[in-house]
Amino acid sequence: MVYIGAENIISPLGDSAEANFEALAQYKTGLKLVENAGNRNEALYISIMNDLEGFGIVKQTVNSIKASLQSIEFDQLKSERTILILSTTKGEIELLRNEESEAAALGKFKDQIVQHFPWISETLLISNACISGVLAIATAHDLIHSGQADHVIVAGADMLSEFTLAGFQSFFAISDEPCKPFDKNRKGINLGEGAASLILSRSKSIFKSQCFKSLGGSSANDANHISGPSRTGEGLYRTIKKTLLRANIKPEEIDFLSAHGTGTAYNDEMESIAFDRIGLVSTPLHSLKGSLGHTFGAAGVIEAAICLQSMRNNTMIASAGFEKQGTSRSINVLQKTEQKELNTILKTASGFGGCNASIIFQK
Amino acid sequence: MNLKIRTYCNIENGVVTLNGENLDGFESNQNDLLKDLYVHLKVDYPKFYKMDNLSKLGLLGVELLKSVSTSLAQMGEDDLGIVLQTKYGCLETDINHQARVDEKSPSPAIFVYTLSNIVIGEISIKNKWFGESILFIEEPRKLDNLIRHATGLILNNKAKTCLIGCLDSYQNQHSLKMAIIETGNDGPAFSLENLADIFDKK
Repeated sequence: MVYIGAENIISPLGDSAEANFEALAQYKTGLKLVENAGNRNEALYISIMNDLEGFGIVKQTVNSIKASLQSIEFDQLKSERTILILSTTKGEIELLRNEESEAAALGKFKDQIVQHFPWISETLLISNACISGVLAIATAHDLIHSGQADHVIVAGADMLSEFTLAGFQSFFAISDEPCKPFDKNRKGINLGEGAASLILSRSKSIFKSQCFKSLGGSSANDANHISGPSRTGEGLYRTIKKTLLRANIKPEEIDFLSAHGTGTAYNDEMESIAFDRIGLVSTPLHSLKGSLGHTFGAAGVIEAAICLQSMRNNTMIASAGFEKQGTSRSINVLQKTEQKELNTILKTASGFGGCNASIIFQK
Repeated sequence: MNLKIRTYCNIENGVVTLNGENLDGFESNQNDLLKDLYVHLKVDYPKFYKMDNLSKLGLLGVELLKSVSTSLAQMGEDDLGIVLQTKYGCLETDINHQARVDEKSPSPAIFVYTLSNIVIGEISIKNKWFGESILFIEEPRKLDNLIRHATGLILNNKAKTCLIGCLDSYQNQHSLKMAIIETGNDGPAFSLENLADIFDKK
């Protein structure tokens, strides 16, 4: 068995998983209108930590990992068979602006994190677009399941940068209002930044408080288009199907679905098609992008941490921005934060490069 | 489990080898290596010209392997696991995109390649492979990472066959090491020693 817990989130809504969960449960948002945010000085809605000082991605990632370590018996975790997996799409990309091109390479980001944890013998960095975080957790699960590691710390982070903002602006993919995942009037994404971490282990006893079971995950590619989602939800359908099969879970046993839901017309439509094909249309689901924006490499870890918090509190967080069904397949998007006994949660993600991933957590 | 290295290829310093032998009849001015190899392999895939160099390199590595690997050419849609690692990733495209951002004229056609995993997407699209895939930022010498994850995918029944590789395209230097890993009796055992040995052959 693989156990998971010790989650932490650092976002504009707070610097712990608990603070973020409470803020989300109370319909608070990290999104705000920031003047001169865009490439041509447009005002944009973004979920930003501190617009004066910058995010400090290395420091925040280290802080997040340290916070997670506070929640475990460190003497048990500290071992040669403990691996750290980092998940990021762009690391410290703002360094490119200073023409320090090689300093912006992701390997340098990893080196900086590693310096803070000299006792960790091995650190991996996964960079798979928007599925990085979910894939990192699924990979951590497999490393423990196959006996290649005893404990794995997973940390995801990405920062807001002109680099990414301008790129999505060039795609005309950015909403000029707070984004509305799965809603009829959705116009695109908001960008966000954050860091999050959690710990997987073969040992239940390392966790100081309640931990959960990781039932593992999988990935699948659309084999269709590098930036356009599949019209049949192909990769997402295939990864969910594989993950359910491997975990021996039926779709009707999923109590809650933490979807990706970016707020673009095509992505959310694609997800609804995949959920319909699997038989998950009545499963309550949300996207957190309407509260925290799209945090890329951090998103999967932040959203997984909220899944664990949801199981701790038996509470499903509403999907901010959703008002009217806006996908061809009718799905059960939560408009209100609700209490429900939550035993089994499915987390999904999809990203550029046609990649999709999914993972299941259980109480 | 009997995991074997079945087919492998290298691109280093403008020299292309397949299963340890120089590619028959291939010559290139190093500056046009990717285009020359595309023409030599008769790939006929116009999308190739829109790709960044990292994606072109990865796609050509697979085409090289397919030219001699029957199992790769007949691969089931969900059967292949892809495990790639790269040191610089898409840094070359990052620099190009940042220059456009600085000029206030970012291009979506460039921006989309500022994710290092796009090379896996391009390979998957060209070959209609829907299976597991993962991209690590890692030094090429860390072959144990490839072995661990490819072995894990096959042991955990997540893939029947694995495509593994290290690739980098930065400052017009193209470097690629790629191999097909399968269960069976033919070929060198999938060990760190054997992998280092075949990838170091010129």
